[in-house]
Amino acid sequence: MALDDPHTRPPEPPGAEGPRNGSAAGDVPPFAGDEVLPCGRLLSRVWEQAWDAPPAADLHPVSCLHCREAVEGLATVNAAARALRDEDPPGLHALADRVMDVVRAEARFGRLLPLADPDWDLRIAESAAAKVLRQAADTVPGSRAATCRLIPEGNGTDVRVTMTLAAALDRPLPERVHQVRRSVLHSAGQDLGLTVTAVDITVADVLEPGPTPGPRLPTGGGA
Amino acid sequence: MMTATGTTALLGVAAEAALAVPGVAALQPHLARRLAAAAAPTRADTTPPEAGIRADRAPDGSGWHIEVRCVLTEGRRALDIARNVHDRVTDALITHLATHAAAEPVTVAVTVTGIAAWHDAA
Repeated sequence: MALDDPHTRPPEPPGAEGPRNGSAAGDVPPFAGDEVLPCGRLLSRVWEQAWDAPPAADLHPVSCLHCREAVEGLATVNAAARALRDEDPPGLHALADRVMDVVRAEARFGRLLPLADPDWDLRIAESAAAKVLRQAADTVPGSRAATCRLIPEGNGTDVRVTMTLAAALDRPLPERVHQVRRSVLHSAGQDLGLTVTAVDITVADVLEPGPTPGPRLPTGGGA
Repeated sequence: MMTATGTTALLGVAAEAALAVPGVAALQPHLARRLAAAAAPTRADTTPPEAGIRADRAPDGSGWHIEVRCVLTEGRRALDIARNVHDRVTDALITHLATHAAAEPVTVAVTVTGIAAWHDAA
């Protein structure tokens, strides 16, 4: 179980109740897990705009392929939901389940991070990278990664890693944390090809002495 | 402008080139295709590899923008595989377009959505 719950809705950011102009700059995701499209817009806002009809002056959703793809996906679901509501009420729940399975699977990818190639558009999903980096942390005896988030920094390919750990107390924590950081940095370079500029580690729990935990079960999540 | 059939062929060429890269386990269908499959479940089990490719006209109409979403196998560096996918898909598409008298610029983006069975290596 992750130490923090990515589904927990954080407090509304200051200004969240202000006018929504659809601008990408400075947008703060209104809830954890909201997807930022490659063009910088929030998926939730793009869908809102598609539903409400965008301001006439905002031509971005029309010209941006990322926004169009997001709206197309919503339109498909809307059309199918309407058809089922009209003709096949019992099938509605099955459709909702299938759609939610797809949506959850898509959300589990997390944000997309740039791989360390400045020339081409090569990216990796946060969930895929986090799984590898958690594994790297777990190779250090007496440590067990809990959450792992990756955040792009700046406009290049830099990425910052934030990780929480459970650690045993049989050795000094700074030494163990240093080993974990080194292992994560090495794996980020060797296994993934990410330019990791920093690994922020918080020891959030104590690893009880006992048998070595078995192989980590796939979590599928970025956290 | 290529016909719809031409676009389908383009997707097939890109998918074949991507799947031939060592370290690529599968292509990950794009969200729109997965939602469409969920809405039409009779086709859900037969999602073709091309569903992992998106082909769009570049915003300025100057060529094609291709997005490849792939799942990798463990054991190789993700960056190296992604570069390889980028290069091979680009080459295959340029060749395909040229042989169909439709030579146009192509940009290719590659997204790694998963690394299969990495946890089994623990």
